[in-house]
Amino acid sequence: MPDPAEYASWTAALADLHAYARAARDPDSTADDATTAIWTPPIHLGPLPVELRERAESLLAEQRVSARTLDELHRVTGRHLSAVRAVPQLADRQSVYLDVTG
Amino acid sequence: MASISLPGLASGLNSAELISSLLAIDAQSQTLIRNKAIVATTSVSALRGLNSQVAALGTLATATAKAGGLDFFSASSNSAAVTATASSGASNGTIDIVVGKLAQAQSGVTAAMTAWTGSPSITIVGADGKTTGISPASASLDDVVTAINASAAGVTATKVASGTDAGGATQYRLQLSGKETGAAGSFTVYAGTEADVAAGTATNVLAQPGAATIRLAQDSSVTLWAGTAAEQVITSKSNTFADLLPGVSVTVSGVSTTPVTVSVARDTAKTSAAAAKLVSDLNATLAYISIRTVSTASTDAEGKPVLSGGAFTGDSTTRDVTKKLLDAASAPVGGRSPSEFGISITKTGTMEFNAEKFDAAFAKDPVGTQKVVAEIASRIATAATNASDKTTGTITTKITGEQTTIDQLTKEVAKWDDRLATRKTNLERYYAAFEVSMGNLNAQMTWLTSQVDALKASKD
Repeated sequence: MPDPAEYASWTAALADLHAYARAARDPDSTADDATTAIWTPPIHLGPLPVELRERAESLLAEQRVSARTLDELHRVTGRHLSAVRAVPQLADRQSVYLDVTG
Repeated sequence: MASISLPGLASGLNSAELISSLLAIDAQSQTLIRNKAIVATTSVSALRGLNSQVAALGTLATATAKAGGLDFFSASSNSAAVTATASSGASNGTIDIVVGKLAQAQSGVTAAMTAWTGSPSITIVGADGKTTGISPASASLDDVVTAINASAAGVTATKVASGTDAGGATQYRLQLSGKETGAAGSFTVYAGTEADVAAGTATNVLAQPGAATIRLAQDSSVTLWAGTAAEQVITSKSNTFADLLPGVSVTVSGVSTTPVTVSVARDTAKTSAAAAKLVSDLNATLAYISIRTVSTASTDAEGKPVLSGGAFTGDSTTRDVTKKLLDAASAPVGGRSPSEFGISITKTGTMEFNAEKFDAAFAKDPVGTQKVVAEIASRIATAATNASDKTTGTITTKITGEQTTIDQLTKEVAKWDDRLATRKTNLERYYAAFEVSMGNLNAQMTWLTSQVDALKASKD
C-alpha cells in the first residue's frame, strides 16, 4: 500500500497532465497562458504507484491522440499564414489625387 | 483532417479550399476596389481639366461681353515726330496739332575745380521751393557726386574731366542734371546750408563765373486749332499727352511748324479677331468634351474586339455643358440668327466663324453687330459660369461627388489591409502557441513513459 500523500500527489499530477492533453487538442484554449508556459516535470513524487499504472497507460494513449491533432493544427495554421502573407500589402500608397479641389 | 475551427478565422472549410478562397476574397476585393478608385481618379482629372477650360472660356466671354469689349480703335498721325496710340474708350475722329516745344530736364555744369571749394554743405532747391540739404563726407569731388546722387533732390551729378590748371593738376567740372523732365523738374544748387539759403548768403553754384546752364527745364507743348480764335496750348511734363482725345494718347518727338493730323479709326481686324477667338475657344472646349466622350474600339491580347469608353462616356454633366454652350452660341439674338454675323453652328455640333460674313455685317452696322456678338458672349459667359462656378457649378459639383467616392474607396482598401493584418497577427499567435504545446506534450509523454518503464523494471 503506497503512502497516501504520495498517492494523492501522483493522482493530482496525472489529472493535470490529462487536462493538459485535453486542452492541447482544443484550439480555443491553445493560446491561453496555461498552455503556452513551458512545462517542467513535477519533482519529489517518488516512483509511480502500481495502482496508477493503468491510468498512466491510458493517459499516454490520450496524449498521442492530442499530439497528432496538434501536429495537424500546426500544419494548417502554417498554410493559412502563408496564404495571408501572399496577399500583397498596400505598401506603395500611391496618391489618388491630382491636385487640390480647384 | 477534413475540417478545422479557429476562432476569428473562417470556420468549417477544408484547408485547401480555405486557402484558395482566402486568396481570392482578400486579394480580389482589394484589387477590385483599387481598380474602381483608379477609374474614378481618371474621370476626376479629366473633369478638372474641363473645369479650368470652361472657367477660362467664361472669363474671355465676360470680357468680350463688356461694354466696349469689342471696341477696338487704332490711331495714326501723318508725321514721324508724332505717334498716337488708342486704347479702350476711344472713338472715331481726327485732330490737328502743332508741336511747339519738347519736354526737357534741366542740365548745367559747374566751373572747373580740383576739389569742392567754399561751404562743405550743399543745398538743392527744387522748383516748388523744397530744399534738400546735402553734407558730403569730404571735399573730394567723388564724395560730392556720391552724396548728391544719394540724396532725394532728384538731381544726377557726373564728374567730367576738363583739362589741367596752371599747376598741372587735373581739373573736373560737375555736370548736374534733373531726373525729371518738365518745368516742375527745375532746380538750383547752392554751396551752403539750408539756413544760409534762407538767409540769402549761399552761393548759387551754377551762376558762378565759369559755370554754365546747358538746358533749362521745360514742359512740352502742343497747340490745337492753331491760328484760330480758339487756339489752345496744352502742356505736359513729359513728351506724352495722355488722353489728348478720350482714350488716345499722343507722344511727340520733334517740333513741327505745320499742323500734324492725328486720326483715330475703328480697327475692324481686331474686332473680328476677338469674335473669332471667342468662337475658337468655345470650339476647343467642345472638342475637349467630345474627344473624351467617344468610345474607342481596339483588340485585347487575345485578339477579341474591345470597346472602351472615354472618361466622359455616358456622363450627363458634360453632355449638358455641351448643349448649354451650343445653345448660348447659336440661339437667335433679338430675332436674328447669329449666322447672319458669321457665327454659325455646324452639322458636327461645333461652332464656325466666317470672317468675311462678319466683316461685311460689321461694315454695314458696326453697333448692331457688336451688340449681337456681346449678347452671344454674355450668354456663353453665363453658361460657362453655371458649369464651372467654384461652389455651385455643375462640373464642380460632379467633381466633388466623384472625389467623395474616391475617398471612400481608398478607405475601403485601407480597411482590407487592416483586416488582413489582424488575421495575420492572430494566425501567427496560434502558430507559435501550437508549437509550444507540442513541445510540452512531447516532454510530458517522454517523462510519463520513463516513469511507467521504471515501474516495469522494478517489478521484473
